[in-house]
This record gives sequence, C-alpha cells and structure tokens, in this order.
Amino acid sequence: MIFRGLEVSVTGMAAQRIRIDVASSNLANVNSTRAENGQPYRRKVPVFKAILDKESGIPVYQVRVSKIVADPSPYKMKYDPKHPDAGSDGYVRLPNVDPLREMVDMMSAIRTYEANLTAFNTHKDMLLKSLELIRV
Amino acid sequence: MSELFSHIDNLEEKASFFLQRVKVIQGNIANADTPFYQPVDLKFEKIVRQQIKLRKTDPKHIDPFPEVKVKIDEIKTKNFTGYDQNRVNIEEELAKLAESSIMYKTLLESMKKELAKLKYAISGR
Repeated sequence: MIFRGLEVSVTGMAAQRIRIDVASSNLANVNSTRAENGQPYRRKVPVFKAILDKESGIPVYQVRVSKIVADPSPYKMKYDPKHPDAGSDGYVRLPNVDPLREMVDMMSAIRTYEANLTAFNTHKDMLLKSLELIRV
Repeated sequence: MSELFSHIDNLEEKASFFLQRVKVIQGNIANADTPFYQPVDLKFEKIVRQQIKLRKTDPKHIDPFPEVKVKIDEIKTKNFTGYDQNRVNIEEELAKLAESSIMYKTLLESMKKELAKLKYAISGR
C-alpha cells in the first residue's frame, strides 16, 4: 500500500507518546503511598518491540509498546511517624520514582517524537512530489 | 516498454528504490528506543543479465538469472550502544533520510523533463 511508510512513522510517534504518558503518570504519583493492593505506587516502564512489516517485502520495522511493566527497584524510605501510612518503626514507604529521571525520559521521548515527525513529513513530501508527474 | 520510454523506466526504477529506502529508514527511526534493535539499510545493485543461457535441471540449482535489482543489506554497525543494546544513530538516520529524499525529488524532476520533451516532440509546442 502506498501509505505504508507513513504508518511506520505513526507507530513511532504513538510509542513515544505512550512513553510521555507513562512518565507523566510516574511524576504525578511521586508521593502516592497507597495504590493498587494498598501498596505504594511502583514506577511503570513501557517495553518497546520491533515488528517486521511483512507486506512491504523490504525490511521495514514498525514499533509497538508490547507491555507496561512495574519497576521492581526498592521503595524509598522516609522517617515520618505522623504519616498515616507509617510503619511501626516510623518509616513511610514512598514510590520508587525519581522525578529527575522521569524529566530526562520525557525530554528524550519528545526529541524522538520530533525525529519521527520529520520522517513522516519527508515521506509525505515525496508522495506529493510524485503527483506532479500527472501535471506534465 | 518501448524504446521511447526506456530512459524514463530507468529513472523510475531508481526513484522507487529511494522511496523503499526511506521506508526502511523510517522503521529505524521508529525503533530508536527499542532494546536490541539493529538498523537496516538497502543497497542498490543492478544485476546485469547474462548472455549465456543456462538451464536448471535440478531444483537444487541456483537460479541462473536472479531478478534482484535492490539488494537488502543488513548493516552491522559499530555504533556506540547504550544499556539497551540499541544501535540506531538518529543523526545518521536523519541524514540518510534527507539524502534519499533529495535523490528521489531529483529523479522525479528528471522524469518530468523527459515527459515534457516527449510531449514537445508529439505536439510540436
């Protein structure tokens, strides 16, 4: 199909947008001490997967977010005995989210999104250029 | 196709190669964050048809006239890899994208000129 190349860049943009969404949700929950199962929030990480586009006959790889997994690294501990979620030792377990890391991740995602957009526009220009042949 | 259009055919073949190459590069850019992904590239190689006729008498024989015009070349780059083993160099991919797009547009412009010449010859104006 003629627009298959555009589709490839769209999958790239969609994947980067999911990365930004996940980083935003991590940032928003930097202080959530109660999430699912009453446990503190765990940082989420999207897992990317390359998928060979079989129809095109040439090695074109689309990208998909195959799953979103929880980061198993340990929770941060903070001494705060007055907190309602503090343990008997006076420590509160806080999410394993590092705001700085999330910000860096977001900036990297924006840059890659832009690169995908450039590729999309280049391909679009090429397709429009071929239309000029019927105007001869 | 007749001799009249053979030049345009040649240009068309090359232009279509660059369009294919752009798709492959788009795939590389889309996978700039996929762990273990290795970038791919296409190589244009025209196979000259042999004059001697060879016959295949066994299915295991290699095809004497391979109709390969575009060779697929999987690059083993020695690029720096991050912790995720991804070898895509986004600057390099964008440069290749620009190069292929310019080549494509140039070839299309040449095709337009060829067609205009034919039109001139036919109509006389």
